[in-house]
Amino acid sequence: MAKSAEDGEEVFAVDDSQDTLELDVLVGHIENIILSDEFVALRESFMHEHCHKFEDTEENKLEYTDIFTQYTKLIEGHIENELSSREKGFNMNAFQELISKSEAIDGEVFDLLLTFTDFLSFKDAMLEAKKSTEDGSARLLDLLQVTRLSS
Amino acid sequence: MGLHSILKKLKQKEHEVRLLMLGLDNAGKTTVVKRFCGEDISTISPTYGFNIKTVEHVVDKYEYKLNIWDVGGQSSLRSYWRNYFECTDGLIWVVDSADVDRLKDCQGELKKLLEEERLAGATLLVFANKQDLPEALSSEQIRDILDLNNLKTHHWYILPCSAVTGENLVAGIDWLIRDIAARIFTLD
Repeated sequence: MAKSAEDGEEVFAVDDSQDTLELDVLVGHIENIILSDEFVALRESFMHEHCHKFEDTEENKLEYTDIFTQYTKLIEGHIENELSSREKGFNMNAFQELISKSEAIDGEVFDLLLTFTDFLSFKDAMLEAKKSTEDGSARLLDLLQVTRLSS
Repeated sequence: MGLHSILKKLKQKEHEVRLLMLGLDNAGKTTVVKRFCGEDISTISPTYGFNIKTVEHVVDKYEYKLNIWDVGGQSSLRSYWRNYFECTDGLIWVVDSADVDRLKDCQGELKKLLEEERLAGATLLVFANKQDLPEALSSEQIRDILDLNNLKTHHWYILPCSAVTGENLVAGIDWLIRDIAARIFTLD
């Protein structure tokens, strides 16, 4: 939410402290990780492996919870690994410290991250994936071969 | 500390609250949630999995986003309850006040839950449900059977209620939210 003059608050100083810069760098990394082909492929293959177990009913099967737990572990593990390889000495605790001190955290990146830990968004995505498989639309991963340009 | 706990912190800034609704089968958990959310309660069948309701609720002028998790209570399902403990801010224990024969079982299951480490920080609200039935025990009687007066590890509160008439449902949730808010949110 943008602060406006109507809020009756004035900004007297812009916070460009070291902390904010570090946070910006990390958020930038997370953005790149999430948008990477590798991440998208990882996520899609997981979805296609499990989506047939999901049904579009209000009540959820207990089985969904196991699948969701596997999913969040996969996603979190990947992001954490990638972060540590991109940022030397990266440490989740320090990152958490930075975030809890930060006031401006309404970014799209965080909205996106939330969908990885929110069960209902996850279920929607699974149903969507199931629908597209049932519609007969071919799986992207089966059609495309991903090759790295450089080794 | 993983990404999950970071995101949980962010949610706290949005005043998001996670409530876990448990109790024996046929206690009326799903009916309580549906009634609270203003939905039709005429065709509710036993829950074999779980339901999630997300609802905005205003208490003392603050708007909270409640995520209510309602998990089936059949004895074969109770071992799965533990998969839903994580990040729970409030536990709502629903009791069929007219099911006198199973109150001992009910007391035992609640006692086990209250020993769970992952629920250690959660506030407990007990709904002595089905007060619309003539044979229902009073909330004082339920309180004594559940031995709540000796419960020192959790903040707790018990209310007589009826998911059918809606009696006390909002009052109970309001109490729960106030207790949780005082604990985890810094109200500005």
